[in-house]
Parts: sequence; C-alpha cells; structure tokens
Amino acid sequence: MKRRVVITGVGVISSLGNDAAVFWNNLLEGKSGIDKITSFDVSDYPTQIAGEVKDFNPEAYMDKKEVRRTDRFAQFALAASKMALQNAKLEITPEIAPRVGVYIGSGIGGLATWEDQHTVLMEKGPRRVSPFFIPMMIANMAAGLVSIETGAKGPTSSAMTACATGTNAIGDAFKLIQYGKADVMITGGAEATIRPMAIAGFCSAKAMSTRNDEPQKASRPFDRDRDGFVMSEGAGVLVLEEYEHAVKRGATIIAEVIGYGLSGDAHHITAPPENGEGAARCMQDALHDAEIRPEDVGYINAHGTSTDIGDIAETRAIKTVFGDHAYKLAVSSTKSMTGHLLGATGGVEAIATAFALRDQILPPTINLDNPDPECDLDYVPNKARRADVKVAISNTFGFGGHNATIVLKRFEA
Amino acid sequence: MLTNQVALVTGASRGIGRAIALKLAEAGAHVVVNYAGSETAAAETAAKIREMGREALVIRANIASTDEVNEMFKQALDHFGRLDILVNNAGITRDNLLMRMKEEEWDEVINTNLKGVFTCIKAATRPMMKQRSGRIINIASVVGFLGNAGQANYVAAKAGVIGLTKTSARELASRGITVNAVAPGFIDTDMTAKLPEDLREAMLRQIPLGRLGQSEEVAAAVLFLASDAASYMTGQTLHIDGGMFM
Amino acid sequence: MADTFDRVKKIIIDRLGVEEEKVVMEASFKEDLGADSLDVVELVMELEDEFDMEISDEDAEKISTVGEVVKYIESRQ
Repeated sequence: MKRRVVITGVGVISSLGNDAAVFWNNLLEGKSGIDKITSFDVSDYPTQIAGEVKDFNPEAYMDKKEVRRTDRFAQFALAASKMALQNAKLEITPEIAPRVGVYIGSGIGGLATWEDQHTVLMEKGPRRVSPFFIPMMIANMAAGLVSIETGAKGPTSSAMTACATGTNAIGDAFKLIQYGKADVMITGGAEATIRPMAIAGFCSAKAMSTRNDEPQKASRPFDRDRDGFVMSEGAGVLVLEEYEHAVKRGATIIAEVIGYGLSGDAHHITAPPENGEGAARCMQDALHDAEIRPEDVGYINAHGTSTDIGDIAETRAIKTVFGDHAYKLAVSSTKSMTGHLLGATGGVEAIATAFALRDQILPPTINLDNPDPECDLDYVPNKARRADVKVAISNTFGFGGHNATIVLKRFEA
Repeated sequence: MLTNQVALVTGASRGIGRAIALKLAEAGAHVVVNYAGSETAAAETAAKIREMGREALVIRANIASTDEVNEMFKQALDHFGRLDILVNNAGITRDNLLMRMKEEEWDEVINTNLKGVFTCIKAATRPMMKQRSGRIINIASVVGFLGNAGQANYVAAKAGVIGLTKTSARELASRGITVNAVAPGFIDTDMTAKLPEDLREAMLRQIPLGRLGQSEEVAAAVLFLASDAASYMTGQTLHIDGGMFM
Repeated sequence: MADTFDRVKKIIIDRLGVEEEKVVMEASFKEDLGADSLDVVELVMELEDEFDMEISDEDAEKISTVGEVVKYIESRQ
C-alpha cells in the first residue's frame, strides 16, 4: 500500500542566497551566482570562477565548538535542514522522533578537511593528524550531524552518486515514507568543494568552463558557445512528509512527490552515451513509478550542466521519452544561474521544481543566446514565464553513469 | 484597475510598505520591491506578488544614497520599460529627546525620510514626464501634523515631506503627474506590537476611532490615490489615523 | 606556574569553546568542560605544539583535570 508523500518545508544555502525565498526570487529574476573564486589564489588554475556561498555564518546554526569539528559541507546541510524544519513548522518531539529520518547525501564529502589534514600529515607527520579528520571528512556526516542536532531518530542514511546524489537521497527518502518506514524525512544534498584539489581535478578532466573573464555568462546550458560546467557549493534540503501526517498538523504543502526513477548507463566513467539511452530509461522508470503518461509532464528541470555532450544527450533522451510532446513541454536548467552544486544539485533543483509548481512560474535558462542546433527544445530562454503545469520532473545524472529522476505534482487535496 | 502599470514601492519588504505593494499588485500592477535590510522579507513580498500573477523585481537600495537610488531606477526602467506609480514609503526612526539627540541621529533620519523622498521623486520624474502621466504618493505621518516628543528628526522630515508633496505637485501638474501624501496614524505593526501595555492604552485614548489602524487601511488609501478615481487630486494629504488629526 | 596556566587556559577556551571562568585548576575535561575523547586527543596535540614537547599516549590517558595538565607540563620543562 503506497502512501502519499508531500513537501512541507525547504531550506537552501547557495550562491544565490542562503534562504529559499531569496534563492527562488533570484532564479525568477534570472540572476547568476557565479563569480571569481575568492577563497584561495586561483592564478595557476585554468578555471578561476565558481558559485561561492557568501556570508555564511555557521554559528547561527550550531555552537562554536561544533563548528570546529565539522566540515563546511556538513554545516551547509545542517543550516539548510534547520531552515527547512522551521519552514515546515515541524518540531521533532520525543513522540515523533523515531518516525523522523534523515537522508542527506554529498558527492564528495569533506574535501577541505582532506586537503588541510593531508598537508598536516606531509608537513608534521602522522601524529599531528586531527582526531576529527575522519568524522569531518566522511560524506555521510551531513546526515549524521543533522540527526544529532535535530533529534531525528528514524532512518538515517546517505547517498553518494556524484551529481545524482541529491536526487537519489530525496527519491530514497520518498520511498521510505511511501512504504511506511518513516513519516517524515529530512532529505537532500550538500557540497562544499570549491577547493584546489577539486578545481584542479575537474580542470584536468576538461569538464569545466574557462570563461574566466565573464563569470556570469560561463554557465550556458544548451547554448552553442557553452564550454563546460561551473562548480558551485551549497545545500538544498526538503522536509518530506506523509500526507495524512502533514494534514493532521495543519502543515502548508508546497508540492507532492509522486515518482522516482533510477538507471545506470553501464557505459563510461564520466561521459553519458551520446543517445542519452540511460537518462531516457531513468525518466521512463520515474513516469512508470508515478503511474502517469509522458503527456502529463509540463516542465523538466534538466540536469543541463553546460557540457558539450551532456546537454545534447539529455535533449535526445527527452525526445526519446516524450516524442512529439518533447516540443510542447518546457525544459530549463537552473544551473545556468546557480552553477553546478554537484551532490547538492538534486536538492536545490527539487526545491526550484516544487516552487515552479506552487507558483506556476518556470525559472529560465539564462545565457541561452544562440541555441545549439542539436538542442531544439523550449528551454525557457533567459526570462521566467508563467505556465499552467500540473506535473514536473527533475533530472540529475552523475559520473559513473548514475541517473536519477523525481516526479513532483502540483498539490491538490 | 492598474492593469499592466508598473509601481515602485520603497521599503516594501514588510509592514505598511509590503501591504501597499500587495494592494497595488492585487489591483493589477507589476511591482518593484525596494528594500534595504531583509532580503528574505523582500523575496517573500515578491513571491506573494507573483502568486497573484504579477511581475515582481526585488532591488536593494539605501534610499539615503543618491547613487543607489539612481541605480535602482535605472534597473527598474531597464526591466519594465516604464514607471507609473512611485510610493515613497521607506523610513527609519532614531528617537531621542531633542536635548540628547545626536547630530548623526538627526542626519540619518533626514537623509532617508526627507532627502530620500526628494531623490526618488527626482529620479521618477524623468520617465513619468516622458509618459506624460504618473502618480507619486508619499507616506507622511500624523506626527508631521501634531508633533511628537522624542521624534524631532522624524517629525521634521515628515512635515518636510508634506511641503515637498505640495511643491512637486505644483511643478509636475502640467505634465500629468499627480503628487499626494498619505499620513498614517498609529498602525498595528511589529513596532507597535512591542509597546508596553500602558503606553498602548495611552495611545488608544488619543484615537477617536479607539483602535490601531491596519496596514491594509493605509494601502487602500494609496491604491485610491494611484487609481483613476483620484485623477483630479494633487498636492493633498489623506489622513488615515482614526481621526487623530482633523 | 601562572604563565603555564594562562597558556593552557587559552588553548582550552579556543578548542572547547567554553567560558573563561569555567577553566579552573580543578576542572575536569570530561565532566566540567564537556570535552569528549576526541577533544582530549586534539587538546594534547595543541599542547605539544604550544610547549614544544611530546606527551606520550600513556601520560595523556592519566590526565583528567586542567591542574594535572599544568603540573605535568611544569614538571617536564
């Protein structure tokens, strides 16, 4: 017996604002959160731009001692979770705690901690490596910390599927509620990897844009002149809740989660197959899970990372799944504004998709000046617009060939 | 009523400013939501405007800064291409008895509450003159008419706004632009909610209608002044104060 | 003695995020200052750096109060 699952709260930490309302407003105004990297000297790096989180004060969410024992990605997760709980007006009392779980992923984990402690190891030797190194670095600690700090005692787990992480976490959390393992799940993704190793690594993999002189124009999904993704950081966390549970306590419902799809490319470590075959199966699986027809979908929040192959493969996958309807529905990539939050991207994009359904406005794909001839769908170019949309999906695809899609529906009692 | 008109409301993130922005949007206007402090509150105002199917544009600008004001009008005009209604609502308080009031306290309040209204009117005049139409509505205060102990700076600014309203009304009338003011009395906001009970009681005794006003009641007067119904009015002040000043 | 205590105190305040008046000679790291075992390990590392000395794991295990740390450091210098 499947139970209904709804979204009752959201929290965002991002380059476009450390608050869900601000984040959403900036998306609708078509603003870019990308700028020159300020946190370290980038003069030797081919890519010198990213979407950094600004003015983040972890002490607003946890005590000073805890701040020192946690990595930035886990701090983002905790901040977004606390805002999401506040937004949901949900208090985790001892009575409900065992039925409230946490499922938050990170694509990489505590990279800053890794780098810092590796330097300590090299310079000062093994006896100087911090006892907090492991607990700070492991990627599941976002979920662990949120559970500890909020008192949620239900299922507590983590996903780690590169850029599909956030969506996998939300999808798995959705299933846990749907099948009765929990009544509430705090779920999403967190990432903080604007650090020398990650920038260097993605640069070497030739995956990132080098449009350093025009940071805000660098992320340009589906545009002819795109040259790779732009890394950013942050967290997107949602409170998912069993429908009756939400209604009983008078919660405001943002949107409903109705489906979750998964697939593997079985193809290559970093590239998708050119025909987007894996992504197509993933979307089909999600529609099947939601028990809807392709024509029911009005909006797709695309993975659309602004890479050469990725955007074309996703466009092809959409055509495979939706046929003629692919040209009638709207597709947009909010990464054109946020940049790519890696493991957190599924979190913030699920939130953008839910808000689009709630407000009936589609966020745009900015910097779409000259569409790639291979990308010929309606990508909501450059300006947000109103639309009558009942069902929307959010795609994310990760290195390793992990594909994940969730299906959201405009809430109707 | 205001279908497809564009309004700019200063200090629109919360309180009376938010109520005005929402009222104008409800009547059909697209709204530029100016704020100085809380981006979150401004974004929430914008979300409510969009919920009604209107466009919203959030712009941060400190009204005391001429550069920031000019940049705001530039952004608003770039985005919407026109400006029909300006509501000068942003204001601050730095209360102190005259004897103790510091020069900075005086300057800060005058710069935002009076000079800021001047710079905003000046910036709005150009596009409105080109359009040969426009509505400017300044939010004054009942204390600008009655005086109020401890608010020399605020009262002087608000009284100044009335003079500014009348003068700009005369200057701009031939170009189809009307300039009016709304003078609210004691309105139920976060600020009045925090007052101690005895002070609240004393306040209520001064109000013939015997209750605090609601932000929506101020907004309704602003909407009236922005609408066609007020087409033959300029240089006037509407007192929305439960009868405190008559 | 006073100098050592002040230096130790500064590190404790910084690492454990406790209020200054709580850091007295009698204070126990675990009971009074809220340190867990990982905090103690880290604290020992800091002290080794600050006083340019090595504290063996065996010795570190025996220390439980601020006073014991100060006495230990004094005795080794």
